Amino acid sequence: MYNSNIEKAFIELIRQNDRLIYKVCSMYISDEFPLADLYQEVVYNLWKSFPKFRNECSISTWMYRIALNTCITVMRKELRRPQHVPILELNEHLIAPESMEENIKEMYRLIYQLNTLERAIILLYLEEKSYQEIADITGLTLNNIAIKIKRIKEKLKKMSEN
Amino acid sequence: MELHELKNTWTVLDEQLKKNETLNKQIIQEMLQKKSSRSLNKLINTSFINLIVWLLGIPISIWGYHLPRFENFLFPKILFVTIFVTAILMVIWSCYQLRNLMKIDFSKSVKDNMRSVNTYAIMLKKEKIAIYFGFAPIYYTLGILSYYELGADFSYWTFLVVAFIVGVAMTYWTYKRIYDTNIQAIKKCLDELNELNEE
Repeated sequence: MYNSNIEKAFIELIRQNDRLIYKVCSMYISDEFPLADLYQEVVYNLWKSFPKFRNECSISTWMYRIALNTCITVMRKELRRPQHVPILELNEHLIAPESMEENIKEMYRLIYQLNTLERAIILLYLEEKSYQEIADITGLTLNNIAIKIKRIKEKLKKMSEN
Repeated sequence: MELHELKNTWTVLDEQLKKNETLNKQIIQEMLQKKSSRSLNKLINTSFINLIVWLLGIPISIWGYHLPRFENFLFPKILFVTIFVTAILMVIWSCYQLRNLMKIDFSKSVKDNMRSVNTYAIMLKKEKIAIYFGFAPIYYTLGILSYYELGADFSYWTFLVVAFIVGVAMTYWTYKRIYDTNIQAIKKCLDELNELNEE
């Protein structure tokens, strides 16, 4: 009975936050780890950690933390192999209006050139998280976050010019 | 593209995701299909191992039947004939089961797959009953009678008892942990896929 209640609560949580998981996963997909596999891995790790969640932070902070940790761990394993930016994979999943398609592709093309931690920070920044929330999720200090965001801005500008 | 442009693009993407039900459906569908495939592969592998074991039973029973030491004994010969007949029946049965399992294709209709899984589950139930109430008692009775006829010493009787306990435990474990668990997992995924398609 207890387990089935937990399971129901967890399924509901996933249903309510599936966009969050999707957005995190979309930052880290690769040939070896397509979207569905990453999504599954994140859900599995969330499920493992779910009983330990003690409301010490908001549910979204907790979910971002687990999802990002999972994707970064997977990505680090994958980095030993040659990388390929899977824009085609994104095309299959993103149903975007014609006018936006190129912009979204361009956005992901730029994001994929950032390193794993920078991708996490830019994702949280784009999700309009405060510096404090970004620091809570990533475990970095506020100063560090501010510096990193500044660097990412410069990096993006440089990449666009190229 | 600067950061504020990136933010605009992200907001548009976010809006699209809010509206895009098919995206989630597609991801969930892929997840369920992968999960089912893993369970199906476990079932196929186990059935394949079963087939090999029963195939090996055919030459072993022929070899045992012709052993000179059993020449003048009735029950060991009956035991080997029983093993031979069972092995042939089980090879045919395993091939039939494998053929049924191979029919399952998660990219095709959920209803057809459900039918195949249910047929397989019924076949397995029949097999379980045949083993627990048919083959196992016959084998062990023949084993006891053969040992009695051969005048086997204490160590052979101990071996028979241990073999009986290990055999029952292994059979129970295989049915419970491999067959039942994976069949239930496939059925659950198929039910969820069905629900997803009906939504």
